[in-house]
Amino acid sequence: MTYAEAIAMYPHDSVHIQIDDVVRLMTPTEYEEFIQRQVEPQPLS
Amino acid sequence: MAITTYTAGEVLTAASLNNNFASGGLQLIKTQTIGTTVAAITVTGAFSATYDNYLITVNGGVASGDGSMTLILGSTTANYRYSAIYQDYSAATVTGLSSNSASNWLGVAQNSTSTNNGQIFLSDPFAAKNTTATWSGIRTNSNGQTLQGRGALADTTSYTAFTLTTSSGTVTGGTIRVYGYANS
Repeated sequence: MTYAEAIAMYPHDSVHIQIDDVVRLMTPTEYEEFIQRQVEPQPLS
Repeated sequence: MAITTYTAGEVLTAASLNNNFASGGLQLIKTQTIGTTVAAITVTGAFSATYDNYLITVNGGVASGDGSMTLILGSTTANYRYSAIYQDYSAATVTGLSSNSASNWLGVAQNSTSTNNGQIFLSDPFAAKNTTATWSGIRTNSNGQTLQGRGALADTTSYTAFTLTTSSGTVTGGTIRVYGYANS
């Protein structure tokens, strides 16, 4: 199952994503953007 | 550095002992506690030039339902190859899964409302060469299953981070640990 398929199963339009010790809500669009860039040089604000 | 061996009666210096602690065997690199109802966990700073081989373990916590976790290195979502087999405790048959161009490695950990479990061995994620992986996961509930997989990431990118993503639902709690196998 792809992440997009998993997202489609959720009743909500956002999910919690954890990056090291930081947990935040991301929409599927935000997640796709996140996953398309290297996490080390561009940590999430 | 190589491990120092001692002879009877020899004075053991702190420097020598500390070197031995940092040499040989598995070295714990990072421990990451999984948060609450998360669908993906990224662990940064996991891989470096210090080690060629790594062990990632997933222990404890619970999931919102039966499922598994996928793994990607860095932000790469292409060129994952794998062959895996799984078997339900209630089934006599073994099922095979494979791909030569997947977007991740699947089933690297197994999730359930009882616990989460996975062990992933990686070779050369930091080196500018293909990364290879072997993994296994065990779902402990009575309608659970076990899965074993092997595969490669066919690129020469150097990675320092990885992301575990649930196949469905979320996970809460538990621990991800990253170990490095000492090169010498």
